[in-house]
Amino acid sequence: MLQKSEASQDGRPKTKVLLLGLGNDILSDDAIGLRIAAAVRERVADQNNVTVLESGEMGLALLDLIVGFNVLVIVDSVQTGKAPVGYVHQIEGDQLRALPSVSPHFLGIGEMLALGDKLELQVPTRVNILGVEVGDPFTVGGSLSPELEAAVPKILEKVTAVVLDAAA
Amino acid sequence: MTPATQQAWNEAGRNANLAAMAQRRRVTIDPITRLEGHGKIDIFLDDKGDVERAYLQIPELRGFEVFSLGRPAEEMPQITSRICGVCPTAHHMAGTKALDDLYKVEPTSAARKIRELVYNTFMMEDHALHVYILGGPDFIVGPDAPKEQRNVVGVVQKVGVEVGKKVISMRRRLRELIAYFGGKVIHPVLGLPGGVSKGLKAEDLPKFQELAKDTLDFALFTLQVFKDIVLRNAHYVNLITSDTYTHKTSYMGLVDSNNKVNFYDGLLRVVDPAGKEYAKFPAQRYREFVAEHVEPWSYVKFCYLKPLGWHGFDEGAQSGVYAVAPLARLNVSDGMATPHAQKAYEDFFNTLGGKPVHHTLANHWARVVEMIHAAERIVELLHDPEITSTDIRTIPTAKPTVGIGVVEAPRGTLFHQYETDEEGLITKANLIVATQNNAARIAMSVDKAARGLISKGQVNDGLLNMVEMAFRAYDPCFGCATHSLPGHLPLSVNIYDRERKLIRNLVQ
Repeated sequence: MLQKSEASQDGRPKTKVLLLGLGNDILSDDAIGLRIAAAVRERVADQNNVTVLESGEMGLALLDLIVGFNVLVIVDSVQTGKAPVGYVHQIEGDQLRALPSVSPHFLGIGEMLALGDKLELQVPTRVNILGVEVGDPFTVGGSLSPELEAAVPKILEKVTAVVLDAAA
Repeated sequence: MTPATQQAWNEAGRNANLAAMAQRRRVTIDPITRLEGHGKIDIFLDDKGDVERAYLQIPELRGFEVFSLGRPAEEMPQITSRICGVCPTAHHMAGTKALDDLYKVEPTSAARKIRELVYNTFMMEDHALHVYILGGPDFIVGPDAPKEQRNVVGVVQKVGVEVGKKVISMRRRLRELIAYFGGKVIHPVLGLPGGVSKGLKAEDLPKFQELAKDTLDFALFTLQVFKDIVLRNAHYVNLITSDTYTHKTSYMGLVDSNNKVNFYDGLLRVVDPAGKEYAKFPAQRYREFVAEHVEPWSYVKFCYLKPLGWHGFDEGAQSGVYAVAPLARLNVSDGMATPHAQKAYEDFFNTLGGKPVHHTLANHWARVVEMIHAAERIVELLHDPEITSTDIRTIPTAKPTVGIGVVEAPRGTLFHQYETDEEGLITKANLIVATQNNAARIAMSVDKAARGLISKGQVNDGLLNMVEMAFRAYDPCFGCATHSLPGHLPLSVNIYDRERKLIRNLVQ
């Protein structure tokens, strides 16, 4: 995979940051992670240590994508029902390393990182998950729900800020 | 089931339905329960504190049909593969075969082989994931192991870091083969009516042949791991064959002209609980054999054998309930078409007491047998001189009307049916996915496991895992909607007392 790893002005290698947008582009609000990642890409185009990827995959398949980066920022949909649509939940670091138990299908992000560590792969040491509260991620369709659409500018601000902060 | 038990079952079902409906009404004003779309098991206790009935609810994708209307049929293999991040290749292939049928066109021989190659590669990759990563914690680590160890890291601990690395690298290389033909694994673009869009260049053959060899070694190695860790452990074998995880139902799966297992093509064969052939039919006739039953407590439509009718969640030859997936495929076939897999198949039935095997947990072993078959087919196809042919497309000329395609997805039989106008624009689309075929039996398994574990209001702490094991063996696909964070299926188990008051909630 192409990675940008130019040194910063003081000669130290810059932190390599990956923004990974997750979602399904034809599953209504579930597409939010992809949509935000694509928009952030334009905004951080001048940051040579930031890579932006979008993926519809999950679990173990993501392991191949994250190897080689120092910091991982994930933006995905989440549905807790406890926050307004468009709210950005932030989950950081240690909360993820605590392994969730097995699931029938999917390997959680925490499990994926733990597996990467165990297999001596260079997985990110800092992880920041941004979960955007969504309304309807279950209906097949190409567009976001109006509430979520309205929240896009604010979500974009927030995610961009987190990425720039990680890259600084 | 005795008539008295049946009556109690039906009665409990009615009560639970009413309670579930009441619950659901309440649910609509309770924001927390918007997670309802995800996996949920509701267990209802009677006045003695024993299980009256347990229900598994799984989400159903909405709006697919509306989304498809008016779209060119050729887009369907792409669209359907995009709705599910778990088995895109299965949807892509079922969709492609439905297009062949829609335009009444046969793919060229080379195109068929390329499709089969890609498809077997996908089956191999997906099965490996389940054996090591998803189902692995149950057996490789062990069902009684502490919760903190029953995960993928525990699996690596047990099999060793080198094996873990091998699994990851094998899976990556297999996915590279899929991507060679189809572009992105998640959104493959390969199948066209009458063929495929890309052939295999002769100069790329050697590296894939090497991959094929490694794949077969890996599959045989996996069988050895399974034998060493699972079959040598009497406790595990007892668990596999225990009554808690056994259901005497019918089975369905694709077979080739010699009644051997085939993932890509063939006729659908159904055997009854005694293993006798009940029906054999082409995919185009599936509507004569498969019907769907609706229960008020579930979004999922429960498939059953139409000629037998729906008689509730019951076992036996008169029940319409059937199963699909690895165990079902082995049960409906007369053997495997490749030598190593055939040997493993014989071993499987000899050890488990002959055909058919009704033990749900035997799916894990059956999956390993199928990995060997997939690997051997990959080797065969990559040594077939025709695999590098450039004759990969028959151009369709017929007017489209209706097309039906079927494949054996890792989780079982997958049907796609499209109807179009004369221009080939979709007027109707229907999918029956593997987990729908299995839904009735999965519900029975969850119910039976719960009954076996809960007594007099005492909930065994191992309940969640033991009940989960009942359905994890099917490798059920809750598909499509469940990849939102936290990235795994948030299964919750709710236990209600006689008054339908929630007395315990366990969240995995």
